Amino acid sequence: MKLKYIIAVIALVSCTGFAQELLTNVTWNIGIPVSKTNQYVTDVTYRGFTIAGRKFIDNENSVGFMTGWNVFDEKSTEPINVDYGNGSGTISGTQVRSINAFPLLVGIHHHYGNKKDMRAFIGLNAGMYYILQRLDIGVYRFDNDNWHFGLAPEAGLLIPVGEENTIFYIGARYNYAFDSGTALGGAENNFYSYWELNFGFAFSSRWF
Amino acid sequence: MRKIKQIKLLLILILFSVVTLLLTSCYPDYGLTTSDYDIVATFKEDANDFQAYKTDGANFYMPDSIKRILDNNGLVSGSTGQYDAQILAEIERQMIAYGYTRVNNTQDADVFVTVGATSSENIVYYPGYWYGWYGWYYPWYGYGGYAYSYTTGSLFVTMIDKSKIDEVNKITGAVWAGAANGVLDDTQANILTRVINSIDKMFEQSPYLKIIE
Repeated sequence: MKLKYIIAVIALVSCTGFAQELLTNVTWNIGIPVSKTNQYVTDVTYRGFTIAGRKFIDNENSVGFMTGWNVFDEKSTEPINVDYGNGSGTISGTQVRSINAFPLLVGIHHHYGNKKDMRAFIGLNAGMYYILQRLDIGVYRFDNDNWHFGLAPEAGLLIPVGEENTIFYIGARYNYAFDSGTALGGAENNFYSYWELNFGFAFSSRWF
Repeated sequence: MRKIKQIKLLLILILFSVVTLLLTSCYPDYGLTTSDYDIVATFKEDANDFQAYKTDGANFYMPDSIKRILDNNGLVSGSTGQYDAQILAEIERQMIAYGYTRVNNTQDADVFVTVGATSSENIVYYPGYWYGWYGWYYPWYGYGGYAYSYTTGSLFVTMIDKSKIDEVNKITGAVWAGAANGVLDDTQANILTRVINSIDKMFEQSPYLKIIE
């Protein structure tokens, strides 16, 4: 199943190789966990990056691929409540909670504005997320890793720097990895969601 | 043109430097001390009405010794620990503070409190690169493995409702249990302080046990 998705991603990216214009970008990410993800790790993370490439199929539209890594983690002393059968319990102790998210997405983007000026874009990415959720408590470690299908709509700005094809990239992306596998602790729905703010540089094979 | 390429290269290098710097600290040192590895867990039978002990009787019987469970076979050893007296005294203090009265014989008791302990040595061995793909062929590329051991200790406190014991159906009658686990590689004074704190935590996070205002 996983192999099927990987082959689909590679095939889609390969097809775009015939397009002439290539925009590659590397960004540093600020990650903001939301919804259920925020209940596990609340801290904003400054440790993340994205590497992406887009091939333009005309002046305004592109298809592309992106991957990256975001690490959410924090130290917590919040007690953990557990329910089982006819009983319940509380576990307390210092915890280090972390979530590592690795997206592997393909996307389509639409760009607005003149090629040589600042351009805005909107896009939708879809693909797989490998997510490792970890709980360290006491001397014990609990890991839960799953592949999730996910969507990542995004918007941003491409701001040319200087007179060549170097572009300052600023964007915001919402990541939603759908329910997959069993959640750490046995909660019913194992989905993850987080926002990213992306800052970096894009390099184009041509002027926009 | 050459200058532009240099600027582009510089930008990439700066960005990669920042990303590398951030990712090398992926798992920051949280400055954890030995006591940060202590955990306390408590469990209760949801159907049990602890407030009923107010009227039905709140006498508890607790043996004067802690049962030491052997790690390798689950049998009970007859040995005693250095801090058994302090541990039992702290459990008694907490029980009395929550409204229970200690009695010296099982006949007068409404609930039994049993205390058990166990310890185990944990060995962590990381072989390094020697056992990796090239380990057998290019051993000079290997980097060192490491090994260390630590000893953990656990304390178990169980409250048993005498009226719920069913020997025929093998029902123990346990209505509440507290467990504390921590690393024992510490100074003796610290170990005692941490064990006492853990016992206090067991009761603090079990307010439903309290039967007096």
